[in-house]
Amino acid sequence: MAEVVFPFPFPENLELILPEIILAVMGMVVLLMSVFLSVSRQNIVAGVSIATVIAVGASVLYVSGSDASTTFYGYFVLDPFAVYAKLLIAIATVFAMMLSLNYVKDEANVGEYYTIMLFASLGMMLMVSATNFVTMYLGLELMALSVYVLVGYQRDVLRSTEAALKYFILGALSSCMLLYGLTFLYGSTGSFIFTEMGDIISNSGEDQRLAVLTGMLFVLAGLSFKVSVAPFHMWTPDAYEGAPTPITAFMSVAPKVAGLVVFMRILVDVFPGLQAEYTTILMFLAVLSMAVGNIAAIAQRNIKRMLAYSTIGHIGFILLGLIAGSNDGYAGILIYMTIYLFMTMGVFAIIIMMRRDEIQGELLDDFAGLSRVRPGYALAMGLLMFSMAGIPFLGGFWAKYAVFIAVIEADHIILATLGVLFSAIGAFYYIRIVKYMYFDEERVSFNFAKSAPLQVIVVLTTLVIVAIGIYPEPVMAMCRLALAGLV
Amino acid sequence: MVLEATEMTLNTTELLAIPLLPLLGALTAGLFGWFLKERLSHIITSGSVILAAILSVHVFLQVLDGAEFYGNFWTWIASGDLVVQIGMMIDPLTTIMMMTVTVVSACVHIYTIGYMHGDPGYARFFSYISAFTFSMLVLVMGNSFFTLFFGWEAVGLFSYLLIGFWFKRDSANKAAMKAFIVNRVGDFGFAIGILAVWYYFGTVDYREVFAQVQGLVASGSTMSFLGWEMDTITFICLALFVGAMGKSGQVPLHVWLPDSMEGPTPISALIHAATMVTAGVFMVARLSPMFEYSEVALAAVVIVGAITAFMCATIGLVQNDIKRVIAYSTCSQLGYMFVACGVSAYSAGIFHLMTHAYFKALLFLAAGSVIHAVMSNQDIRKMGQLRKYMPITYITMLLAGLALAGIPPFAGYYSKDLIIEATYARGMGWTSEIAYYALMSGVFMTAFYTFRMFFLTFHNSDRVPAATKSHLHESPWVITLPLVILAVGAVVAGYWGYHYMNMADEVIVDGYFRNSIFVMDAHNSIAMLEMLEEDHTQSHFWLEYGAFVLAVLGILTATLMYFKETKVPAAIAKTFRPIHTFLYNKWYWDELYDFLFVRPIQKLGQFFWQTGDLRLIDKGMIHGGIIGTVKNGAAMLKNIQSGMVYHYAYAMVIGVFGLLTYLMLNA
Amino acid sequence: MIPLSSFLIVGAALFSIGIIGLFLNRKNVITILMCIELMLLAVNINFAAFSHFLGDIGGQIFVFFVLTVAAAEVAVGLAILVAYYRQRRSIIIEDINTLQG
Repeated sequence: MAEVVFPFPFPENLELILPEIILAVMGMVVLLMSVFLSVSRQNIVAGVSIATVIAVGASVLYVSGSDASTTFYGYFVLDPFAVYAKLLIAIATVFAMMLSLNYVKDEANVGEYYTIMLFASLGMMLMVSATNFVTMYLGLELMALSVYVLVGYQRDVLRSTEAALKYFILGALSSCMLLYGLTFLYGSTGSFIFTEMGDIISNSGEDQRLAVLTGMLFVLAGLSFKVSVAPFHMWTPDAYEGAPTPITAFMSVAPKVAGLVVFMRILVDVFPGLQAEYTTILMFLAVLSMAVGNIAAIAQRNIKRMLAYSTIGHIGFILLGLIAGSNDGYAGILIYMTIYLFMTMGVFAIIIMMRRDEIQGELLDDFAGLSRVRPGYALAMGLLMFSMAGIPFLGGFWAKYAVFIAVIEADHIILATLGVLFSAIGAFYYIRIVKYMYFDEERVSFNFAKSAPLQVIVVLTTLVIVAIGIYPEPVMAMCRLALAGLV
Repeated sequence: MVLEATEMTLNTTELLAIPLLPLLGALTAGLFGWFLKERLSHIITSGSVILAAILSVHVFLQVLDGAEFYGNFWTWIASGDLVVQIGMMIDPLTTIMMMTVTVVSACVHIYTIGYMHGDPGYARFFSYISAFTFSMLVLVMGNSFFTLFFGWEAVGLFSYLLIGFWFKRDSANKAAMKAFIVNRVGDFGFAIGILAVWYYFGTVDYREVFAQVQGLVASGSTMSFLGWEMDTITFICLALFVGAMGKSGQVPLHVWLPDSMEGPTPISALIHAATMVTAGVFMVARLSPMFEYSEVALAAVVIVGAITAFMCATIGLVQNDIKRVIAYSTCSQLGYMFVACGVSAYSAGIFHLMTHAYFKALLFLAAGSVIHAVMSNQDIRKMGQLRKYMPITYITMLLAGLALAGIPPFAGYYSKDLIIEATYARGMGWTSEIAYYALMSGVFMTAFYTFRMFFLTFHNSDRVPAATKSHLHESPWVITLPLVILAVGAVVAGYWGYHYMNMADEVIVDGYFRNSIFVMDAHNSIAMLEMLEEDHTQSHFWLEYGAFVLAVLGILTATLMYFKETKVPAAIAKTFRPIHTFLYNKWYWDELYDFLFVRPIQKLGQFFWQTGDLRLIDKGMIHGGIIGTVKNGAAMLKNIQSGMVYHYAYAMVIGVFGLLTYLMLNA
Repeated sequence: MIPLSSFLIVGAALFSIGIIGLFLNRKNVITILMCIELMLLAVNINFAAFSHFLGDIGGQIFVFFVLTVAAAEVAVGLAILVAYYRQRRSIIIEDINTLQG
């Protein structure tokens, strides 16, 4: 009897995707639980979800080694870089879920909400471990589809559904662009694996150039959309404003981390031969993002919208790290994202607390006089705002410092100057909130949602930001270590 | 935790605890003051500072036995070429400063309990002074220019906050602002100096820098600054010294120090007499391995110190505000310390710094006790005969006065005399000669103004307004206890330092300071002094007893004029009216600055505000100006964000195709 | 045999029609969904063509992934559209403008 030789052996190192397996399985378990649990006991679902993500973070650490190791025939990699990104994603997801506890507890279908969040982070984790465009694309779409749904989660609120619709349409467009660009890259290399493509592109001749450049541009545009780089940022303010606030917090951090990690991997692995070209593109995008983000934020009255523009501005600063193209630059991006995660989560926790009875607590005016009623929260908010503005010695300062130094060392003095200029403009609207809190008369009464998870997040993030501000070295060293897998 | 330590003889936990305890107290009182109320706030902050003082004394004793420490604790930031480490350098110079700072600070903490009682900012005040203590300890204990700079700026910040502590008083705000601005001038020089150190030596670590100084000097490195060609080391030292002038109230940057007396009196004692203002002197002594290589810088230190010592003493002669008299005396005494450093008698300078800290803090606290009793009046013309009401304050202030005037065996005598003799012995040419005469005349004036103030306050005729009469009483024990503690210091510190600690002895051989201070053989003024005294071929009467005689003369003059109410002072003031007015108006420094800087800058500001702000920006908002552009841009971007999906998609498509076109054209 | 360029031209044409339809059309959201499908079609044509001419099966496999994802995407998109319609009672694109500025 002839023996059938199965062409694919059992994949080695399968344990490397243990975190993803946990997420996928628990996502489905949570969905089932929510169906079988009575309405009054839905908070168990939230608890299980949070525990799952914490377990995922722990399992990431458990399976990680000091070197890069791959599984699924090299289609999935777990290197220190991916580990670090996954930890950031897990932290962001846990924070976002904690922010949600109070926010969505009165909504129907809480189980779906957490399930979809779990799947969103599954998508991101696949993205950051991708070594090829197939894994990357599937992870990206899983993330994107989940986030579309989360943005529109409040089905009975017009602005939530509208935000979801807009985000969906533009997101689909960006996916199409990314794919269209990918077809040309595939056409000129015959591969989907980053490093293989990179080798071929580096050695390709003039006749391939047009296809490769077009492909690269479309791919970068598609990715830029995900991380809100101007001019692909237009969805950001609308989606941020319409989405439930915890989701706004979630999508302003986690997908950005995943997107930037993919960005870095692709630039380093696929386009090393086109550095001059992509640097020019990125310079243009960075300056535009810094300008749009920091200037448009000034005209905003809604703090979620303002933070959307602020995100765009921050992404502009982060792109400076990509432009530097050095180890320091990439480390700067990780440092920036780490600090940005904590700042953003803290700010959104305070914004969620501001929601009360009939007021959404999202207008800047709602913060007037906060310092007199809640000096503690006002102080936390003030510190976080100063940190966002990059005032020394708070975390945000070191974030900007890291990327600025990198870009200066790469001899882009003009870019660094522009960056400093725009961050000075940006400081205006952050500090304006401090002015509202400390110098204006209160207009409405405050009655804060009493929620322990929110308080924990506010205190924790503020302490982290202050601690990093005073002693940034551990975080910086960690980020440099994480880069070992990339370059 | 310790990354690299050379000598592990000192317990690092203990060393770390000394600055961190006050910091912990400051944070607790600052963050939870509203919750802790007065009692717990002062117990926590005072307790931690007292503990730090005890630990400092313990470290001091260990260092006396020969222990030293040098090491880094953590890397604060390592980014590219810039590696900044936080570490400590503990040697005799450091420990004497640590002990002085913590002991005086502990006394001031206790004193504050009584002095600030009932003030709405009670916890905030304790938080500030503890945080100040922390900063000052970082300044003196650090092992690099970075920690020096951090401490330097932090003490400046707390000084500024504390001068303006009573922020509802307009004069306090103005004084705080003045201190801030004048110090910025000094700090500018200081920062340039540190940047130059980093540029030329590639490190900010004391030991590494000191090791390279000789090489730099030998290489004959020069640089041109504002068209003035000079040695690099001279430039660095002069720039750093500008910082010291600002912080230590040296002419012409002294103007902020007397005004800083707007702050609460405990602050005047702690920050503006005993510790922060001496940071400049400490810095020069700490950096003696650098200053020693620059004759020009040393001469500048001598000249500035001598001018300050003389000028501020003359101003002190005629002031009527009890705290201002002492403040000018502080400037003047700081001048003495700088002269000591300039003539390379660093040990004498630090010795005087230590004794001065005790008796000057005591003078201020006693003055505060007086002010407290006469209901916040500070004018000595409205005092008199107070000794009947406050005996403890009277006696302690008398001791402090004798110490300041330089009467043996009180503290000031030993240190001040040593400085004057060293200046004489040094023989730098005209600079040290001028300095010698300035200091000698200063001795007379110091004795005179101290006892003028003393007699007008406690003797003379009773001129206290009737309304406050009923209020006169001795202060509570929390105020008098620190007075007594400091009085002990004011009495014995000099004798103890001179005879037991050998602070006056030759630096390198067997003195207290061992090798924490570097003096070139050619500059060793204290060794020269000893040689001079051993030379019995000529009389040394004037050298050895001149200062004492002048001090006694000063006190006698003051007694004649002010012990009883006489008409002499008024007559003298009338006869020498121009000089009196000139001195009374403090040599017109404030008016000069007002004319030279304040008014032109105000005019410039007015111009920018009127023309720039109102015309160009406010009115021209729609048409131009940076702010206008930004606001226009914001409005424009708001319009672009139309809410229409097809506009958004269009922007993306434009973006892609625009970039594609660019790439095609440039590829 | 049809040359590669013809396939690419068809792909580019379809992609352009999709993009232009996306921002020129101001009436119906359904049309936008159709435009997106059109663009994905262009992508698939390109992949299939490249795959054939390169003699590499990868491109055609990717086409299946794209088709699957597109199906999921449309499902999510239509669900969002339905939710939106319930609130707004309209799916005219020009009406989607409460969030702006």
